[in-house]
Amino acid sequence: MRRPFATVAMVAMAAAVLFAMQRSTPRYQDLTGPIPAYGNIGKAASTRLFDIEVERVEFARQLVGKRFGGETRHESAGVWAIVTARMVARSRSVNVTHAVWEGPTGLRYELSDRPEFLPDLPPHTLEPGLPQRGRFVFEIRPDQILGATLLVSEGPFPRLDSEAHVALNALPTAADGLPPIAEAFDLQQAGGRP
Amino acid sequence: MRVAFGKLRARLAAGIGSTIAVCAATVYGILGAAPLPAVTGYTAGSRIEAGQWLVIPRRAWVSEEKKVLGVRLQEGERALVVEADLSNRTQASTRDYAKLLKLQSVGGVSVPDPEVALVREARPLPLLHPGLAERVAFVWKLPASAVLPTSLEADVVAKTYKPVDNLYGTPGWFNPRVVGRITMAVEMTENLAGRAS
Repeated sequence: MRRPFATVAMVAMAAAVLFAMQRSTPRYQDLTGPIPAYGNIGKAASTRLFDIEVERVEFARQLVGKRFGGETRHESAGVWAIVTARMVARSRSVNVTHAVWEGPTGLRYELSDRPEFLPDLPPHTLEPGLPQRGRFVFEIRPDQILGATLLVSEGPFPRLDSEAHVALNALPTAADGLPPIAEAFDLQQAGGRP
Repeated sequence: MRVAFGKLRARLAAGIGSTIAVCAATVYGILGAAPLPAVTGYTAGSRIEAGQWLVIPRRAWVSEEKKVLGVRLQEGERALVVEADLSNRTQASTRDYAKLLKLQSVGGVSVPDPEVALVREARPLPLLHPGLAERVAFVWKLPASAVLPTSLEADVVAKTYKPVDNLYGTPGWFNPRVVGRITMAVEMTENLAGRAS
């Protein structure tokens, strides 16, 4: 009389174990995903190919610059976030093409495709032993400013390769709790080369 | 009697798979033959939740210019433009809007996929970021032979989010389906109005 009960219990337990294993198996994408190299403002993140140290993060309602002799002005539905970073390659020349502004809730803002043909914008060609400054420009929502992380990698899909994760904390804040947002930011201004 | 019952049981057991298959096929056949449910109708100014996008169609117009909001036209081609506010509802920046609006055939000519441009900067193929609404223009290139419509109908095609897809186990947006139909009047320029149907 005990035997059927024991069988049912064992089958149920096996099903539970299999379900738990199915749910907890890491996905291929997670297993082969980027390997984070952590840093924060003022502390360099060291990836396999390059080091990056974020120096400044600025915010503006408009971007201005000169292109082909004429002035360009980019407006946004949100705000522009301009990250200035100092980068250097480690052992060979690297083209850093990809960066993401990851907001506090995990929203991923890719580099803006709108400012073009302006100095110090990606792709950044880095040489070993020759540090240089570069900018990353994002178009973000104002509620994504605080608690964000900057993700920088050589290509768009870092797989089994390190990716810089720079915590953008400790931003100087104004009275309203947000960092100051300038009316316009001039991308033409010097600040690229160290 | 007992022998016959045993036979029947054996037969049922042997044929249970086929029986289920036949029943399932019949049910799906009946469901498939049912007429499609009527799609929701929308006009200019409606808020349409379409999977990855929140769409608010604004206006539609035609143009004969060489370049419409950064989209180049060939000699003799004309552009049918639908302006809409698009807001990215997904987690990441994307350009996945080429198949969002499907225009019904215009003047007996089937139309290809539109090119999409940012109205703010007359820039084709803009990258749209999460939660930032932008005015974009869907530009359909019509051959010179097409009769310009005075009103247009376009299907809104939405995809569904799957946290784990069947092939790679990655999250993504799949299975496009029509969630509504936009009907809008097309604004004519004076030059074109004389020749429109």
